[in-house]
Amino acid sequence: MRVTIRSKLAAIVVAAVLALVVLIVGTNLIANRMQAELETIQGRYLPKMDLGPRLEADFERARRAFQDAVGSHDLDAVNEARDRKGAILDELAAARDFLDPAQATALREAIEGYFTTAFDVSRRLVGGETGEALVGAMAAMQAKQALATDRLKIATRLDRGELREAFGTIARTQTTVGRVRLVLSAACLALVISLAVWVGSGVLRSLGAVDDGLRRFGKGDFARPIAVVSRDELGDVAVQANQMADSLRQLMAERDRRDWLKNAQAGLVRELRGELEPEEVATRAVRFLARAVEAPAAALYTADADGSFRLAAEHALASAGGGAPARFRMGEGLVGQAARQEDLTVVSDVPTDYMRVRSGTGEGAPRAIVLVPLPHASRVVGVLELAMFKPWSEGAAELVSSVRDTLAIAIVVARARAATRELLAATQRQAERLAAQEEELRANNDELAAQEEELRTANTDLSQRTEELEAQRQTLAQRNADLDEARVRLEQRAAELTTVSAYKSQFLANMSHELRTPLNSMLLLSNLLAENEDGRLTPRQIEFARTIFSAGKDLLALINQVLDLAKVESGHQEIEIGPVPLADLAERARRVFTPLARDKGLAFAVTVAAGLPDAIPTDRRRVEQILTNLLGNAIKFTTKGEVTLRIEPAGADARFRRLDLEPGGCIAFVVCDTGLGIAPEDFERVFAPFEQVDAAADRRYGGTGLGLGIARELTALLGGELQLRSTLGAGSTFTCFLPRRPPAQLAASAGPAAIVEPSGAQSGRGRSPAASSPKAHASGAPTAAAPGPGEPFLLLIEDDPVFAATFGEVIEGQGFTYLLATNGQTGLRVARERRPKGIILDVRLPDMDGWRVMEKLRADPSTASIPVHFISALDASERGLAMGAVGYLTKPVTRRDLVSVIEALVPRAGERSARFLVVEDDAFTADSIVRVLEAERLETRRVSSAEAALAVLSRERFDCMILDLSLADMSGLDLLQALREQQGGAAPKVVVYTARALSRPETKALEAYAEAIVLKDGSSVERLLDEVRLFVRRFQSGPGRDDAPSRGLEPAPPDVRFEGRKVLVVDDDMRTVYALSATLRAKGIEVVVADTGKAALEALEARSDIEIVLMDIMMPEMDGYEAMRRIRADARFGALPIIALTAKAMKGDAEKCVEAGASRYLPKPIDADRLLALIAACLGGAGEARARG
Amino acid sequence: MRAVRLGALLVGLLAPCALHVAASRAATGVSFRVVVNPGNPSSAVERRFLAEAFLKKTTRWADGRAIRPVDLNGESPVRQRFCEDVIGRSVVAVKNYWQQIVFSGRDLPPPELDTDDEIVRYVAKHDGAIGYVSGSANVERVKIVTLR
Repeated sequence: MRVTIRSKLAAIVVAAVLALVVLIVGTNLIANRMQAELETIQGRYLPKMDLGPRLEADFERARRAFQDAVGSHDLDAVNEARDRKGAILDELAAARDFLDPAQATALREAIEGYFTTAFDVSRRLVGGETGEALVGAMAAMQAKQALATDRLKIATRLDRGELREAFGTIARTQTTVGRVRLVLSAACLALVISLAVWVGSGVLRSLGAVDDGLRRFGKGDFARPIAVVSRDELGDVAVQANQMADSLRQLMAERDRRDWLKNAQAGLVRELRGELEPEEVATRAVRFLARAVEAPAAALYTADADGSFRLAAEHALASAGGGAPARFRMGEGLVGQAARQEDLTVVSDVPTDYMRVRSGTGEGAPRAIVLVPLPHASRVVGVLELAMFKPWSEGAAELVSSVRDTLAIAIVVARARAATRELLAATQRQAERLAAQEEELRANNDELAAQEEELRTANTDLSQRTEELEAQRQTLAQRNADLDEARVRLEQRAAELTTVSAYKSQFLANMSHELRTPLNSMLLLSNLLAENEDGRLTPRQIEFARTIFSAGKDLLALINQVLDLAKVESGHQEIEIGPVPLADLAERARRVFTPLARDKGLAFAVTVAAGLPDAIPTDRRRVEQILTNLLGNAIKFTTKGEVTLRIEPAGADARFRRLDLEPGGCIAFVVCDTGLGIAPEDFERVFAPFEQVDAAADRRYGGTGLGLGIARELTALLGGELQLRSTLGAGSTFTCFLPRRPPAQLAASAGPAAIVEPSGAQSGRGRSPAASSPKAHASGAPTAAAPGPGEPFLLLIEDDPVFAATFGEVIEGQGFTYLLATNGQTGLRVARERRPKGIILDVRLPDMDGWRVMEKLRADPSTASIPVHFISALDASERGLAMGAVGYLTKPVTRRDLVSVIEALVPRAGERSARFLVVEDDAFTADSIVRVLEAERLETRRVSSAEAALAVLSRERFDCMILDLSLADMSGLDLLQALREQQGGAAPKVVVYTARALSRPETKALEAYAEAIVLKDGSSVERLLDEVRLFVRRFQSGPGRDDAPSRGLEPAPPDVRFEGRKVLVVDDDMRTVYALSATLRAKGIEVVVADTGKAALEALEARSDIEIVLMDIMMPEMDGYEAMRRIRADARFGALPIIALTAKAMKGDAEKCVEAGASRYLPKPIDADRLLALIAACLGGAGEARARG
Repeated sequence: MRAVRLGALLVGLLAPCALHVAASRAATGVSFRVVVNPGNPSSAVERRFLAEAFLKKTTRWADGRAIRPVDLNGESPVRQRFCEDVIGRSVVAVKNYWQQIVFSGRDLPPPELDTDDEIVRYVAKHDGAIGYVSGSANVERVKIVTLR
């Protein structure tokens, strides 16, 4: 019977399920019983357990209700408490099921009893009853309460025995359940396991057999099939596997046969490879095939051209005895027949004598003869004969059939090859003949080649020449590129040099300013020391101090020069273009340098060529500087001979480096000397700053070597060119070419806005350019007509008796008396004791120089107000004016100059009313002005043109000029400039009265000359009058006091007491502060110091009594500009005098200071006297302002 | 009965020696005296003991006899005085205390009597009894104890 594995497995599952069902049902039955027991316990005992506490709680609540009712004396509450009884009894009734009826009844009675007595007691208590009876009732109540409680406990107590029994039942049931479950589980398990073992063992056995068989098959052993041990699915598998093994076995046999066939075919092909002769092919083929089909003897016949077959090769035939016939014809014998058939012919059962195959061990007849025709392209090319001992097998037949074609092809190919070889031999013979002919051809060829060689040589020459040309062209291009590069490099270098130069100049400028600050302190302090006010220094120490001071001054001069150069180089120098009369230049040069040349014993001549314009437009100061430098240089380096200055038109042969210059448009200033001369290679060096041609010359002549450099830069600045021609040892010629008209850019920059260097105050030069050389004067004793006491007189301090006598004459000619002092000490003494009306002071004096005398005069309050006029051979007008002189005249002088000196001094000494000149072309306006002025009892003169004004001014002296700007013949500004040219410091004050709206630059330019500017409008006459009155008042209160044309000339006003005045010094440089403080304190001034702008503001805020502020500009935190602006922003300080101090004497500084609110401006290093004079002026003004206010 | 007789005898013996306990608060005009059964050997009690006895917190005299306190009627000013002075609570508070005790079944309050005479009679009658009467009551049959 066939039992499948599937059914066996199903049997196991069914058995397991049945066992599980039995287990579950059995367990469930028992569990149900347990459940019933538990429900009994739940229904019976749990409510009982619940009821006890609940009833107790209700009872307790009732009890408390009584108590509370009594506590509150409320009868109603007592009733309510009694009513609780009902609820309790109801509950008790509801629990009847599980209570013992007797106990329940007893409990009910006890509760009712309690409520009755409690109600009674409560009512009585509420009713206020007392006494022993009540106490008795209470006791009864308590007894009832105890009884009720007891019974309640009894009724609700659980019966232990009963409970134990119930739980015992459950426990027993539980145990039973456990046992049954165990037994059932074990039975089920056993059943399932036995089934599994039974099924598993059968399956495993079958699997083992199958596995064994398959393993065998895997190893290739198909001989034994798999035993079929069971009649189930695994049995089926075994049967299938056996079938598969059979198939595999057949497949493998087939594969072996094919392999053998393929090997044989491949072997034959291998055997026939190579270029073999036809016989060799036949031999190899027969031998191989005989071996392959195991034929003991074999032969191969090949077809000849005539169609017969010839024995080509044989294998072991010779041993067969008799040998094989060598040839058959088609159809002859078996061989011929086979060839005709083109098919395999097998002859079996060969007669024993047909043929015998013999070997060393014996002989025998073959069992079969096989004849194989070899067809190729429908022709039989051969026949193979095989003699077999074995019967002719399928495999052999297949092999022979498959190699038939191969063999035929091999035979045909071998034959064809043999034919080819013969043909080749013939061809070779022909080739030899050809080679001979070729030899001849080659000989001809050689001749041609020789000719070609000649041609090529010619060609090479040509190409070589072309290459050379190309190389040259490249060289040229390279050189061009180099040149370009060099040019670019040069340009770069030039740009770098310019930058470096600018940096250097800027550095120098900054450095010079930095140097000035400490130098300032040095100068101030050494000066102070030299004054020896305390009288504690020995003369020797004073001398030291003076040496320090003068060394400092020299250093300052050097720094100024360096700065000058730096300014020019860095482009900071501004120029002012104006008409400069050539005669003036010549005159000045003559005046300044004649004495110097004379001192050195040189001849000095100045010539001005004819045919030149009267004046050229250029910057006068610069031209003078250039000439001074050139002439100074010439005189310095010339020891004998002469120095000349020629002013002439540029020679037609002049060549210029500047492209904008041409000989016709230039004027040449030629300075010739007969000095050392300069070697041509040093031409450039002389212009380089700080260089002199000969280092030794440096020692000999001193100086910085800056002069020529500055001269050249200035010339360039003015649009001209400085040239040098010289022969070593034969003198030099410097020629300064200046254009007749200024270059366009200079003309553009030269205008009213041109900035005037604050320190460059114009000198009060002589005003007569055409003046002749000084007249000689009669000699005479320096007798002075002694003026009587109180009589106004002039003091002349001069050591040159000749000059003094000349001047004395002029003074007396003007109607004044004078005293002569031949040295400074005497002069000072006379000035103090006699109070002259004016002092004429020479700078060079035997005991002390004029500067010193001037300082002393200014320092002494009693003489500070006396006007002083310098006359000296030294050209130091700036210094003189800076010290507060009314004028400075450079010797040699003309008589006219001397008269103007006296005029400059004396009118201020007389008592007279101010004279007014009204320059106005509108008659109506002029009338009204004159009327107004005459109403003020002022002397008035009126002219209507600028020409007339100049004429009148040159004749008469006026104190004030009221000027209309729009005149017919000349603009007001030009008139003012002309006036300044003509009269210098002696020009009258000017009030501009104009209808024109002025531009800012115009206003600025005018402010340089004018005292006030009044615009014509409705109320302008009153305004003009105010200005005039102001002027008159100043004039009367102290002539000469206000002689400060905004150029830094600050003569100290008299009567200004310094003691106790308060000055605020604002400067971050403590040296400066110290020096200033020392100077100011020496005068009794109280000094307040602030080190920043901010501190200054604070100081001003803190102290209201500060009368003047000295403000440094360069300060940290808040600079001077800002500080001044802030001070001015405060209305209280609107009129506070502020003097700006700065070491930065660059262009624009002064304007910036004034814009920021400075009243005055003083460049560093600070000259103590000048500072004091400024302070005095400011204090005087301030005092006056206060007096007016 | 025997105790009563003995008490009477003691009262008789000790009456002349009885001390008058004047109310400490003469200002209110109400005073009380504490009286005990004449058979009681104590002649003075501590205030604290007295309070605990009347609240039945202490139930025995020093010699082991049961204490039987007796109160005056709740409206009596003397009781009021006694409560405040000795127990330190108002009469109402004392009553509330007792209600709590009564209804919780723990104990019973002392009996309340309306007059001093009844008190005296009760004290004289019961051995171990203690009570208090107004200062003016006739206390010939009981023993007056001083408060300490």
